[in-house]
Amino acid sequence: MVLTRKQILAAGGAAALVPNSALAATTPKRGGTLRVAMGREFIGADPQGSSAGVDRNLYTSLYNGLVVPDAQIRIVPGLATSWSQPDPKTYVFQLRRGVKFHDGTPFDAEAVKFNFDYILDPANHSQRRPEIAMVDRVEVTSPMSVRVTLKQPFSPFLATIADRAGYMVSPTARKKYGKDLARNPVGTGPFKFVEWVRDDHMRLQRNEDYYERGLPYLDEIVYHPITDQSVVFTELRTGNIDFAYTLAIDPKDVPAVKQIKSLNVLIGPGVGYEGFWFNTAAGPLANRALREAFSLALDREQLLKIAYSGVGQIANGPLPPSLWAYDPKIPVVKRDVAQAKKKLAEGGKPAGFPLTLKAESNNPLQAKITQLAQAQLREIGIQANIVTLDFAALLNAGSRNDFDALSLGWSGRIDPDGNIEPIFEKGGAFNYGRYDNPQVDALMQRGRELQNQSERKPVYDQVVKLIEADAAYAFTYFTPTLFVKAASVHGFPMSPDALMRFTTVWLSK
Amino acid sequence: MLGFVGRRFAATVPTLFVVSLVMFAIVHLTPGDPAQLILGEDATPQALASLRAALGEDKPLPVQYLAWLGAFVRGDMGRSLETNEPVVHAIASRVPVTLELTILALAVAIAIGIPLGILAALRRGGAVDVIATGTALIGVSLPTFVFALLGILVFSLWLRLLPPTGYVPFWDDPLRNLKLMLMPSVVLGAALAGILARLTRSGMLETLGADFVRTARAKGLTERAVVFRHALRNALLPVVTIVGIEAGTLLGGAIVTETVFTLPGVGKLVVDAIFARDFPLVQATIVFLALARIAANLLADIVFAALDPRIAQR
Repeated sequence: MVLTRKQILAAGGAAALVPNSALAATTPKRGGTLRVAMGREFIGADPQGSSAGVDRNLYTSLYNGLVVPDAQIRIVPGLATSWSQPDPKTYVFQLRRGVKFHDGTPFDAEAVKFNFDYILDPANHSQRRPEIAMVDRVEVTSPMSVRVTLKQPFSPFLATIADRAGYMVSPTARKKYGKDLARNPVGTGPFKFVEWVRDDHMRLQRNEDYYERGLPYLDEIVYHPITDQSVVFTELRTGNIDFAYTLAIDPKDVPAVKQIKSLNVLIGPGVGYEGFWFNTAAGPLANRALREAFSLALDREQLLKIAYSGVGQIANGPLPPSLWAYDPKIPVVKRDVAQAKKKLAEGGKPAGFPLTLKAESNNPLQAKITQLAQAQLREIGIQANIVTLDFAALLNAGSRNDFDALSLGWSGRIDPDGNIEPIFEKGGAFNYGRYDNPQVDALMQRGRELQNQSERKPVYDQVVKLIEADAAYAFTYFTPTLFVKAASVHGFPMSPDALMRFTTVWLSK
Repeated sequence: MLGFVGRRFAATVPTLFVVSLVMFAIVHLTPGDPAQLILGEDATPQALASLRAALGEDKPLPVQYLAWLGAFVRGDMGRSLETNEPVVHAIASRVPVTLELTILALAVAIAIGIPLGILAALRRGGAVDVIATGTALIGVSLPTFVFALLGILVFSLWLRLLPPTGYVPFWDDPLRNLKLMLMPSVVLGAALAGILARLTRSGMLETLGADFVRTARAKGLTERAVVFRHALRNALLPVVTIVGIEAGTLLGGAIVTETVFTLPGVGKLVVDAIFARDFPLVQATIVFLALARIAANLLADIVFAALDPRIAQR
């Protein structure tokens, strides 16, 4: 079964609401420890010093950004109470008063400047530097206001700083710890760092001085990096774990979890997509007709079924329904064997051809997807030779353009620019396929210069159509957001960015 | 005896050197760039080049190796590329976990394996022998991860007796520590218990048929004295060697066990470091594991020499 967008939103909303509605009359209860299974260990707790996706779920507890995305991915106030944009290149932020870092030092305009300057200094090798490379300078205009000037207009700016690049770290702690802040995090967030025994647990406790009065409800959060998904399932069933992050769950267990009264499955729309990178510069798939043949051979519904038991939505491009730029009118590519064979003939390979399909090793989901795709491709005569590599080696093969096709998704960003630019623009950090379409590049640049969404949307519609016409990538499905929680956990906000935020979470046990 | 230990100890230095060199070559020949992993998906080529230079990864491999070796012999193991944690701290914090796991697993193996072997030998061909050798065979054949998951299924999910994951240092809460370590150490020790049972059984059968045992019996000694004082001591010689060798293997098997039970040990550390291409951490941890294995073998040799004085004189 494949759900429509409406159904997913409803399912996501409903799943998140079911446990709460039963207890809607009950007021949130303070106290208790939330035990969370992560599926892998954090690299560190420094938002300016890691590129690991799993770490983003920790920052939401420890830090606050100047602005934050709400459940509908609208940008709303965080540590900045308001902002204005006197011209396309300038943003002025008014900061929240009375906020303190966990070390007792005050949050103010100097702290904001310090954080931006730290990221922008090349000597610090911050992972955030490319994200805000368009920032020219940050100036303190009063104790509680800052002006950020960009080198050129960049409309995704607020969305960019609503993520990791905008989290505020205590300048005092940064000066004291340097890069070791990753093990000694100090932010303004709802929870304070207590201890971290690597590969065993990380413990946080409630920040009593948190700026949102009365929040958070939990006394403590303990994150466990349990990597074996079947062990996580056991821990959930025995009540030793209250909440499981996406990576800690094997999607094939979802039907079984649904049968268990003490557990709830939370499924909602996400911002990422899955599919196949094509090498558009060399090898057989440099030929567009052959790329089209590959794409037409795929049965996306079957792929989604095997990956997420059919929960989720077939992708019609890089922009999922949770983004404002999504266009439902763009059609999905449907499996069409006859048309695929025609394309093979058009590409000069009527009898088919062999290619190398690279994918991540030790990844059961990827194993299923690539084997199914292999079988589907074989039916039209494409012999996909699957080569599995560990993640580092796979990224390496990608950046060296050493593949014909690559099975790998994109975790997604809340601004459409972030879902297209890295992969499809010339010189993009993730443009593994060396896709090169000057029209796409020019439109993307225009999309960054235009300031409002209604102007930007038609630009991205055009970009997606161009990418689809070139068969630059075979989009298969939009990655759903998936969590499992104990029925005693309430108030968890589902968000399309797939991040866990525990500020409003409370326990009824 | 002291000279024997000294000679064996001196021989470890070239072994460790070769281990570190081979390891260095392997990790650097594996595709994957630590700078890319650290900076992530959005890294620009300039940022990557600058970080590689800062990490020293832009220099020729022999230069990198010599720099690492030079620092290592001075006691500086460097910092983890991924987490910036000092390597020596990362390893030191993991050693107690793996050491406890290995010792407990060894204790489990000895406590189960040797009595099982003796019992099987004394009741050769009987029901006890069949059960004992069958159990030993299962212990040897069942992969660690299968045994681990079965254990979790039965003892955590069905019987709710033991927690499936977690770790508490022994000195913080000895009882809880042992409760948490019970399943991992039985799982890890099972294979060795099987090997020891089979070895003890065959050793016992051989010695029980030897002339000196017949003499001992002829002297009118009790069966207990014959079995334990005469036969067992001789039958245990090969067992000691195997225990020494296998103690090193246990350190390797600990990798799987630590992963399934989420124990913060050295095995988990090295696996994660390899996937992260965290070279300084991989290098130092592998050298440490090699050292531990050599130490275990050395210890076995010393015990062997004590049991059989002919060895030390060779």
